Amino acid sequence: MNDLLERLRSEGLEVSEGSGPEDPPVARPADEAELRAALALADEQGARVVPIGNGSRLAWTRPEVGAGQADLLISSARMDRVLDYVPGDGTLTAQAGCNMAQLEQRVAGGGHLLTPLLSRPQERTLGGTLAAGHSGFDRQRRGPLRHHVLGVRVMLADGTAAVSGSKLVKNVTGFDLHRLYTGSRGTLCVLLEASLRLFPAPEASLTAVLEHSSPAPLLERAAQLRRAPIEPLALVVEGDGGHWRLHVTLSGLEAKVEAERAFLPDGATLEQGPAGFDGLRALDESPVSAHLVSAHLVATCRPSQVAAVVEGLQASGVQRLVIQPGVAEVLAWHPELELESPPLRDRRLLVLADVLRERGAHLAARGLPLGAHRTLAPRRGEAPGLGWMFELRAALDGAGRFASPTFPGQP
Amino acid sequence: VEASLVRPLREIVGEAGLVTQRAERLAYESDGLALKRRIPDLVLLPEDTNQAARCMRVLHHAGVPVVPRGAGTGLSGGATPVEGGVVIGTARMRRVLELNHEDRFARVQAGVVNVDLTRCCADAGLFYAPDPSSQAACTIGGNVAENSGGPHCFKYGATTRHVLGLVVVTSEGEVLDLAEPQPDPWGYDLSGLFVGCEGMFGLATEVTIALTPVPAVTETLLSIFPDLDRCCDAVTDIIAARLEPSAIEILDKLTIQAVEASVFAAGYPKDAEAVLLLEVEGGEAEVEATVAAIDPLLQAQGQLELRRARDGAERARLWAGRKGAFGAMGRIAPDLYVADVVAPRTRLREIVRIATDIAHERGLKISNVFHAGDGNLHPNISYDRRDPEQVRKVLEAGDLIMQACIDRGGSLTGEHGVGLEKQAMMARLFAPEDLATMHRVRQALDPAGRMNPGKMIPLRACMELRTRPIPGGER
Repeated sequence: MNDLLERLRSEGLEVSEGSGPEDPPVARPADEAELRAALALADEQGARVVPIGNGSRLAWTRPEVGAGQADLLISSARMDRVLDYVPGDGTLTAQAGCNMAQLEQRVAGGGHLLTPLLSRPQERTLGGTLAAGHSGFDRQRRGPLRHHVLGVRVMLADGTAAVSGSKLVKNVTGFDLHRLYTGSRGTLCVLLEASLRLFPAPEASLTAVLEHSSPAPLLERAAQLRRAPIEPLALVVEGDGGHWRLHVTLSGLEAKVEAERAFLPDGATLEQGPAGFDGLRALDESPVSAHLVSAHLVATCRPSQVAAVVEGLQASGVQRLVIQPGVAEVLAWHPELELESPPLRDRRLLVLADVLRERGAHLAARGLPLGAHRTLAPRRGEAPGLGWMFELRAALDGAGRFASPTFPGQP
Repeated sequence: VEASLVRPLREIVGEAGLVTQRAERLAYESDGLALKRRIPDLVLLPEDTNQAARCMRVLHHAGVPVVPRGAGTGLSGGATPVEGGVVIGTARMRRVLELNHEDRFARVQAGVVNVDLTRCCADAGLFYAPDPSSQAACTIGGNVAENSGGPHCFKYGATTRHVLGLVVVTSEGEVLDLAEPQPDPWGYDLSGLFVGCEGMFGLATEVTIALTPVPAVTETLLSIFPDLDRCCDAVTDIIAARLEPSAIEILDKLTIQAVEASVFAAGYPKDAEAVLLLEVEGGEAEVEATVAAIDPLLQAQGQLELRRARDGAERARLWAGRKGAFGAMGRIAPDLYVADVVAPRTRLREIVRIATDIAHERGLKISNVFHAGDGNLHPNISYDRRDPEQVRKVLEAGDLIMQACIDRGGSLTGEHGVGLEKQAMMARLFAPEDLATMHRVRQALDPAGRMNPGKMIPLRACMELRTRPIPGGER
């Protein structure tokens, strides 16, 4: 693939070599024409391509990159123009390479808030966030990210640029391919542009944090809050060992926040204003050893099954959990899995997956080596809809240029 | 459809699930788009997923096209039968399979009527949010096919935001069980892709639907305006002020008069040029604060009066008027062309004015009742389909209104779907590459193209091949 590097450069593309011998080169096209040229060259050479933003979350979206199983990364980071921000319509359209922190800042000027609420937005691009399908801690009220993607422009592996949806907040014209692309982890297309629905910046916000030595009472408290006549922006239980915290963030009109305050748990510490948001963001990627890492595992289930799933995970030796009870997602940090030999690690993962399946949950790897992702990735026939997913991938990327060995499943 | 095909299908669905007599099949000749009609060769009414899958397998082996149908209330011709095809209706699939109050979802068969879903979970303080005007008749399966909306979608979003899972029978008769209600299922968002596919990817037989807690307080407001333009501007101002009522609807003078002369009379002022029907929901303090913030914006645009519904009965009456508006138009003329277009919310006044001018220039009667908060307009043209010249003018006006929306950054449909009605206009909104990509996805999921063929995507995405509805419909 050395020739690919030279050919890309000869086409005028900005390309950098990988930082290690296993790392693939990164092409950074400045526009759609350069991107199309890069894809054509990759196709000519039969290269395995992974579309990225800044590549900050590849460890869990495309673990094959770290395992030397990608030939070329194509970053959209240089395609970074805000195309249309219409405060009066509450919509934003931007190129995929736009930095999420800059977008947040831009819409804040018009009194708007961007979803999702994620950690370290300065590291993330719009395209990368959408491709990862990464919903934030505001999902309790807002719902998943894909609900707020109004339209996209993408480039398929064969260089076709195509639009789905629009900039409009309501529109049912044509198939909702933008919902298919959101969360597809770059396995179907390169995202070029996206339009998002925006939300009003809150007049007031208040985050309550209640501590306890175990998660169970906090999960029960969270369940009570879900039944209460309030609409928290975020509802998170997180912790490890004997230190657990329930975070409840209220936001909106001042009168609403003041009225909902009465439902907050006694004994909670309160933080007014956006500082509470910053605390929530930090939960997404937490220090478990010397450095910040994303979760190793993610379990999803029905809300009523969360407590049982948490028990199952705790029994397996996880070090830390971040639980969103309302949306039934549990992130687990399990550093032991990084230290174990692959066969032992994979055996433990399969046992844990079985335990959680009995409790109604699906377990997936998030920040572990490729082998672990492969162990937990479903095979054809194991997950409903996987056949359709492969058909869709074949239809949009017949040569498998963007194919992942683990997502949406194993071939 | 060959007679030899009927026997195996009868064995699957029984006599009660088979409609063969011409007089009975006539009821399935169109949906709400009466301009396009064709009597189907055969109608099947399976009782459950199993029967539907077995029927689909038989039809697959025979190479027979299938048109899925809910209650037939759609307005874009999505359920119009196709030549040589079979209609599969969900009228006998009306069971609620699971109601889970704790996790706030229901699993229902596709033929459950929209409003019945809310009725069956009301005791638990839950409701199903999407509320199209036809909600007393339309089915959840039909809502899924069209990604239906309704007034309260301004706050709660259209059908797609409420579908947690599906059971789909593919064109080959396989059952795809995506019913488990996990908020973020593994892999691609197949349910999200399926919603709004207008029956072209498969037949949804079961739907897992998110239920929403009934708000503590609901305030319904009627804001009365002496001028339609300024009523539109008031909506633009509410959006720009980032206020969040749950519904923002406009009814113009002709609509008000038709409603007030009908059984849906709601007490709207007959001399007003327009009224704005607003609903604000939430906690008491939030509702009060929102209403207090909205009122000055309405006054600044010349609002004559702001009325608050005094009780549940008055609220119900105000909404019955809004939802009965299309029916009330029958007083103006025998037929109604219900346009469904979308405009950026900053350009409401402009598009409403253009639509009105287009109709008036052609001597047509136009009335407006629409989801202003979402920019989803329904310019309604009253006409008599027995008059070919009127039909021609109506279709021409419809095209011009859609084109005006496209030219101003709008779209062809906000909730009724493309179907047959807007199929030709797709090539004006989308580039050939966009349509070709949709076609690739469709081919991936229905390789033989037997599911609702000839709908939504133009056969060839070029202007030369534009087709338009045939005046008087097809027989």
